[in-house]
Amino acid sequence: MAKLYEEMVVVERDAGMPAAFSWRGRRYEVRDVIGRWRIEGRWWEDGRDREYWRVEASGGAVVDLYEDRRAGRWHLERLWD
Amino acid sequence: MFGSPSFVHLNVRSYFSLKDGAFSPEDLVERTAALGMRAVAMTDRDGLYGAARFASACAHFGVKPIYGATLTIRTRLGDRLITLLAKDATGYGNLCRLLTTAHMTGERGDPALTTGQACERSEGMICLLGPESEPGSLAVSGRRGAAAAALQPFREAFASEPGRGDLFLEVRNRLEPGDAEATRQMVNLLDETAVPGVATNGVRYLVPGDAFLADVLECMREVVPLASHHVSRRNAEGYLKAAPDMRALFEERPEFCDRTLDIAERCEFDLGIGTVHFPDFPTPPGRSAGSVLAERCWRGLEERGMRPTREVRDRLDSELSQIQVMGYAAYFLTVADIVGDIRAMGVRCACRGSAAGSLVCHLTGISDVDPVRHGLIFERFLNPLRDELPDIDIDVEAARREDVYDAVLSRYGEDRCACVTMVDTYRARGAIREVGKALGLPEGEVDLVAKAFPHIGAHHVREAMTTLPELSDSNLDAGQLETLFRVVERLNGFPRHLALHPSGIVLSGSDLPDRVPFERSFQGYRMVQADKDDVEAIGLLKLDVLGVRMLSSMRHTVEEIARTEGEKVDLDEIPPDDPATFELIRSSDTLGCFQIESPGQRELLQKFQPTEWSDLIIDISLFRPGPVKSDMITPFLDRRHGHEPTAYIHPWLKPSLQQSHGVVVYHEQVMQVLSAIGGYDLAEADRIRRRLSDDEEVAAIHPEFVRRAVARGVNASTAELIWSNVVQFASFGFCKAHAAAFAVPTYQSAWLKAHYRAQFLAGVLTHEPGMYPRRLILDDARRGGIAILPLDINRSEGDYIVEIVTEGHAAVAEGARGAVRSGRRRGRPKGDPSSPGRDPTSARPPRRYGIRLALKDVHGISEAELRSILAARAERPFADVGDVLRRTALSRPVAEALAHAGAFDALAGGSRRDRLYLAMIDDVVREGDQATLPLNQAPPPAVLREYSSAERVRAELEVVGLDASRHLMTFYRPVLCDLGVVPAARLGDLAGDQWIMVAGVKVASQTPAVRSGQRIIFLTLDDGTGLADVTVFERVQPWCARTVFHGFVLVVWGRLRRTGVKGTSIIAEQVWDLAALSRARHEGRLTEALTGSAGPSGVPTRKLWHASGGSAGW
Repeated sequence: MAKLYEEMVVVERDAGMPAAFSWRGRRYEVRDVIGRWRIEGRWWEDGRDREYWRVEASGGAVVDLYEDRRAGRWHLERLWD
Repeated sequence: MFGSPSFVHLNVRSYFSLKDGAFSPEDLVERTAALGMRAVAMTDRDGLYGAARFASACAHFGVKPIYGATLTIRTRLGDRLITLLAKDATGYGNLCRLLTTAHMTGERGDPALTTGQACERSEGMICLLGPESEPGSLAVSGRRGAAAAALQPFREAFASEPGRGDLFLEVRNRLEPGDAEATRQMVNLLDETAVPGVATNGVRYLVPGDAFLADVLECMREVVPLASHHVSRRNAEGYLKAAPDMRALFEERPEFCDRTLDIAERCEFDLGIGTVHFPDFPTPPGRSAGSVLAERCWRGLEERGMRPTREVRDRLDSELSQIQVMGYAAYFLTVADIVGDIRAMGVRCACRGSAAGSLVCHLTGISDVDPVRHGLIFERFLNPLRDELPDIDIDVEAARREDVYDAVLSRYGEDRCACVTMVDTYRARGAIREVGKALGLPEGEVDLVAKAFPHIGAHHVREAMTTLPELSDSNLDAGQLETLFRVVERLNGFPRHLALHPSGIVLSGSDLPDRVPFERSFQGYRMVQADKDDVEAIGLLKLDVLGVRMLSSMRHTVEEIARTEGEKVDLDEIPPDDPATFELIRSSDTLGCFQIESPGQRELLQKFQPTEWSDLIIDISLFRPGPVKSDMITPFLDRRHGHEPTAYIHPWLKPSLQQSHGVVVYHEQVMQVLSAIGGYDLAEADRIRRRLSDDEEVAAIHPEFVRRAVARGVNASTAELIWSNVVQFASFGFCKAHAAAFAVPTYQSAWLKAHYRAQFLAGVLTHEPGMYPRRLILDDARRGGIAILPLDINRSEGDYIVEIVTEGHAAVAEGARGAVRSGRRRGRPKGDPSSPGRDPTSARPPRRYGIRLALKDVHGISEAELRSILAARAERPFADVGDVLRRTALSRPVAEALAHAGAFDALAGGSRRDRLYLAMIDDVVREGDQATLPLNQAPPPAVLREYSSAERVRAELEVVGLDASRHLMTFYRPVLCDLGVVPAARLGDLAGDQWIMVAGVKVASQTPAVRSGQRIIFLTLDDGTGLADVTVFERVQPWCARTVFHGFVLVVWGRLRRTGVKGTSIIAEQVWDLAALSRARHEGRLTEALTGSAGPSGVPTRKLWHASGGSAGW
């Protein structure tokens, strides 16, 4: 099951890909990138433009991170366990 | 070879994939070039619409074009798509034929093929199967076995022969959620089946920032409001990505990208822009089209009764040899045959335009104008130096145009002949409505916004916005409007839908189906997927067949003359110098006449006073925006009337300029002047003439002209003077051949009006050929002493007809207006020898004419209802209202409308109200059900009050849109007198620059696009005495616009401006609704009504309308 967080995170990148992120005061290494996709649209409403990365973090948790490309900020959207 | 890492986009949809792609072919090619890609494909949905523009753009930007299309394949699972690319001419021909099959077999607007059909013609094409194809969609959904099976027919068609690897699976990675899995499935399929994969990006927009357009287009296509669940794209990755970006997406399988380059190499088809494809014309064995044409022309000399003088023979030889050199003989023969067919069908037809300047056209029967007699020049029409195809325009009766199309298309057959398409593009109003709907804005509000716009291109929306006062009333908030206009602006020029071009027919060889796909128009006509520019670009010859209402109108007139007078008029045989006709023209009594009925033309006629045919040609040529604006009319008129001597700058100019008193009026004269002074031949002279509109070109030619003139012995300063004249007039001149062709129906219509006014106006009312609404033509009839006869269920026909009426009837029918005069108001002088087969008026007692209103103009009446009336009446006349209802198929509203407008007044029983009551309450009992008839049992008591005059007129306006019994304005006399409104007929006598009031029915209002962005409203008011032209500038629109747009009868207060000897216009300061003022007067508060409305402050209102005073004319 997944749990929705939508919380801000800080992401370190390596060659464009997320290499590690810090969330709730802890730093997690990215062990594997599982998927990547982009969502853009709904310009007639809020106008989002996000790049998603589904990654496996150190400790084995799978999380969906996304970069809000307009604001230049990262969020942790979901945690899969 | 394309250098790696490069990439070629092979799946790209432009805006010709209607409401799918969001860019033009030109923008696609420009962007491709900017990204450094050397080739690109354009693969629009079910069509090759943009092919010609794509080809030209590719040539311009140095990009290699790959022609293809995305075809809809109907499968058991629903519609799927495949993309085909043409490798060579065979492939392009097959692609065209497949598209034609897709469009011609199914429902219109729903093109589709089966897999079998698509695979039947595979030669010369490459096939791409993406995730939207049947195999692809099966693979994506994980049904690999089924996918492989679905792939089989394509493998057999495109990849079975040895060495023929023309089948590819498209692999996409648009980074949408789930794309990774779909891509994996596609890759698995191709790895298993050994079909090579190729990378595409399914391009719908050029840059990510334009993705919003794709959303709107998609919602407009599906007619759903814009919302996440209606939009299929999830991100903005479907754009024209640069090669490195595409390569990065397919890092693991670079061969997918490499193959795009191989495919681009293999697609070698050239559309052949600029190559002309001549039509076939079957000739006897051993004879060329050229020799057949020559023989026809020589025969034509005899048939036309032309004397084969040296001049004629030389000219014919010269034209024939030029036609031969350019290869157009078969085209002329084809057109001549078609014109012959049209005439054989009994349809009036005429050649218009520069083709009338050709003797070959005259001798082969294409044109009736004798170019030798009128001094018309062949080179103005066809010029070996010009890179332009000959274009012949044939006018036919508007009402018979479809018959003509049918005849031409069936005679020349599916393979050689089809109609031209017209691309209807988005303009402001339409775009606002559709986008507003897609954005989910309230329809009423959007409609108000749309209506406020003049007819402008969508890209002018924003500037127009700032100047429109009505928009401030809109309930839409600024954000919504901003979004709306952001989209609307971008849609400018996007094709909205494809329609039949109103006139163009392609005439080609039997290979036409290999050059262009066909589809069906709404009316079912076969049309090419190419508009008129495309047709010319790909070298197809066409003929323009235009429907002209005046020709239908004159046909109706001639038929009415035969019916009412028993005379057969042959318009082609009427004398060209009939005094009565020129008298009518000089008196500018020309409402309804071809080309000379507008207010400005009538003013010109009065000043000009034409006396002969050649004057008409000059008159038509002078009345063009250019000459009017630059006032070249004045010097011409001064010379014509001898106020100024006619002089020539150089004696060599006299032969060509004599006809117009030394003033350059025609294109042909510009050519002749260049030729006479500069020594150019006429072809070269025409080429120079065309370059004179460009300042740079003018500067370039100038010294050469002077040098050549001096070399020929012309004084240098004279040469300079001539040059400046030529340059000044070149842009304003008019093609004399065109004017000469137009002069024919102009003269014919004036002749008919002069001699058969009632029949002529019945024709005009029936076919509405001109600029004026029917109610104004009725006025003209009334002024000419013709009775207007009301609708009568037993007498009215579908069309307007002429009746001979008795004196008493005419007087009654005409009501209070004017004395009854002869229908032939300007009857020809007694014993005039120029009137063939016509009895002079004096030989018979004058007859009174009436025009009977037509059933076809009854509001809401259908063709079937009309036929049922005529059929039932043919058996026996209708006796009463019940009889009408029983024996016709009239719907209740139409029956009521007929009763309301008085069509039952002549039937037995009661007042009009009684009949209306009957029409309303009777249960319609049709013939055959008479056992149950309650109909005759309970006739209403004949006690209902009769309609008043005002009610009659209102009913007429409601039902037929005409105030037939009286002019509407007659009801407002009291208020008009109180206000001191000036009758339109008196405006010409007033001094300019004074404040006056005019009033009238709004008969026309135009809001043309003005470059400055200012919106100007031009109004024409009709008050029964004549027309008043009113200009409403933007300054006063805040308080006037609403009344101007919504009112029907208006009062205008403004400043009188004189625009010519007789011409006037009123610059509006305030506008009122006359009906409202009339009501106010009735209630004793006229002054309040006048001053109460919002308006300019400090207007010295009260004084004005009392000052000008008087009830003159009302």
